[in-house]
Amino acid sequence: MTAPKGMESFAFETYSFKHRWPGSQQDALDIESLTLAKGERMLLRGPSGSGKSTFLSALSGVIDIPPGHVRISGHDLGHLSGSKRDRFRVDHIGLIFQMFNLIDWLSPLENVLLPCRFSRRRYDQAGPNPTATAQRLLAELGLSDERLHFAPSNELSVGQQQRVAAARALIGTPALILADEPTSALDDATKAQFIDLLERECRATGSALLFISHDKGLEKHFDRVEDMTQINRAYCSC
Amino acid sequence: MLNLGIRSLLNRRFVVALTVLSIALSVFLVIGVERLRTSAKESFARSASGIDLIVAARGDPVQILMGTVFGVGSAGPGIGWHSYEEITGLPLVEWAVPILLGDNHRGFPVVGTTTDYFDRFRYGGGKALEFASGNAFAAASGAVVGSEVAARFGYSTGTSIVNAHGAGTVAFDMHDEAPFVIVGVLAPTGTAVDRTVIVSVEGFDRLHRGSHDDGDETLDPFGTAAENNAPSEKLDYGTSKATGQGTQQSESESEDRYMPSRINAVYVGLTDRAAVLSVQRVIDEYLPEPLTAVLPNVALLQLWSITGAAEAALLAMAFAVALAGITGMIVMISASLDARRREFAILRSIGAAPRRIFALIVVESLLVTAIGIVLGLIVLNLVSVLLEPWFTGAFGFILDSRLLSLHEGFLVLAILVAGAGASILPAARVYRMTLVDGLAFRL
Ligand SMILES: Nc1ncnc2c1ncn2[C@@H]1O[C@H](COP(=O)(O)OP(=O)(O)OP(=O)(O)O)[C@@H](O)[C@H]1O
Ligand SMILES: [Mg+2]
Repeated sequence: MTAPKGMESFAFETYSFKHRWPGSQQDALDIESLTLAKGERMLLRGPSGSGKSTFLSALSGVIDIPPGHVRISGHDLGHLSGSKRDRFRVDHIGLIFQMFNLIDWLSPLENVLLPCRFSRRRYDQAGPNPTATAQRLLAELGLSDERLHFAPSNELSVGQQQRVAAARALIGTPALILADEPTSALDDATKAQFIDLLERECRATGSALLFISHDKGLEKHFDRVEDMTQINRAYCSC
Repeated sequence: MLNLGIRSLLNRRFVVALTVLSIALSVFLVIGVERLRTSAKESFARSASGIDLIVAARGDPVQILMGTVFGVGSAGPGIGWHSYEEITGLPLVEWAVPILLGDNHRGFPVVGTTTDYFDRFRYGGGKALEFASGNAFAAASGAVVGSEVAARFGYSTGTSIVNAHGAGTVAFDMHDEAPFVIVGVLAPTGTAVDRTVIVSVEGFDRLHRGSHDDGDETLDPFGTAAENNAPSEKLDYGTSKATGQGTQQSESESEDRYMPSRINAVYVGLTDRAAVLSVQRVIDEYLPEPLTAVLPNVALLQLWSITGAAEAALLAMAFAVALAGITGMIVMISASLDARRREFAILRSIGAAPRRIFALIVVESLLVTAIGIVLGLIVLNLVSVLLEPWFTGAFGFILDSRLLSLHEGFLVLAILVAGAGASILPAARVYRMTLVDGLAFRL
């Protein structure tokens, strides 16, 4: 489980990884090799059903994976039991979803601090005062109005909610940020602003970013652009 | 998890409040019924514990016990004074005090007896009556009041009181021509004595000669002593051997000890409790007047066996309400699960293992049950304190005022465990749900 020498330079690595959903007739994923270097930002594109979200589930350790195929920061996910993967996830990964990222009954600030509550590592890495760090992150993401930090989360606009979700993914500097179409519910202006801010924060914290999106014109924010149709051999467009 | 559980419940505070209320109602009923049962039994047993035998005119032991010791129901047709003297003379009888019943003072029963009553009566396992102030009556117009009577009406020694004819709360006929002066106030005993006015046999009887002259005994729906005044004197002449006197008025007032024609019952204490059955047999079978000697504890057992079915029904009802309360909580939690799938997926994405989400659900229902229990107990104790005076007056026993007895504690624990146990159902569903959903919740 400890990171072998020389492999720590990757945020994630997958080698000859196949996944089939239970009850399905065919593989949903068949990836020969895909890696993301530390601090690297990758845009992952692909048509609907090409397995992007499935790949994200595999990286975040939600689905069972045999040993030897997926590593996060040098740790083989296949070696971890279910609940250890849950702990591992919060320690090393920040997740942003398409929408409905926040727990309604917690304030935005409390939502941002959630990973620190569940992970010692994230707490320790969030600086001497995690609350101050959370507020700084929110401010840097354009939510400097402190009233918004304590307002009910469901009163925030969708764009504001996504930025709170980004702050939650970023707090405590996890090695890898996974974002599954976080901008698809946003209008163009908000979308551009969101990606700008996310890119800036990832640069600042040094977290690697895997960003899934259908949207065109986002390439300039990323070091690399990959297409799921090229990567996933299980998906054929025929 | 506890903190998150509280926050999550606060978010749904309206439904949660309703559920808490239903649990509180369950606890209120279960503990309330249980408390009623045990209080009644304890209080009744306490009141009668110092009396070895209660002798009254032949009748049903339970009725005799209820009528004499607790002042509930009819006091019976009464027995002749000569029987009292015969009982006093029996071997093994250590003491015997006559009891006259049938009057009330502002709803509290009035007992006519001798001063022996204060020396002899024992309660709660051998405790003697004590005076909080004053002492026993010396004159016929003296009265001693129980602690509750004194507290209720603010009586103290020297207060003049007037009694009413009849056993109920409704005064049928005020004996205002014959007032009493309070000479003593008893210390609290936690028995029926607390709500009793005790006067001398003479003082008690004097009233009834008065009311007899007025000729309005027909208003009395209870078979009280007054109604029996006229026939009793005939009976007296026929059977009385011990005293063999003429009319009450001329004879007794000249004597140093007053003798009424009729009394309602005799409390008997024995020198040897083990002989109680043989003394009972002598009284039942060999005395000239048809009498029944009641062993209070046996009569109580009989009473409990009669009320047993009703108790069981009451308890079953209370538990049914508890079941409904817990079911309501499970329904509340289950109904919210689908709406909360998103919440669980988010919790998982930030590292909550499925079993932590399982724990969240259990913690939530534990909280709801615990708050419900606390609320139910608070309300129950408030209600107990508030209703206590009325209750004691209406049913003749003292409500247990302990916050929570050990036995009740077990019941409460059982409800708590049932609440937490039942939550395993929805929690298990959440567990499976989070495993299947993963992070890819759908809406
Ligand atoms: N939980 C699941 N159980 C079973 N099959 C699933 C599950 N999730 C996805 N699949 C299947 O796996 C395949 C890949 O789906 P996936 O969600 O990864 O696609 P995607 O690239 O994210 O598409 P989209 O762009 O629409 O989000 C699809 O055929 C889908 O039906
Ligand atoms: Mg998807």
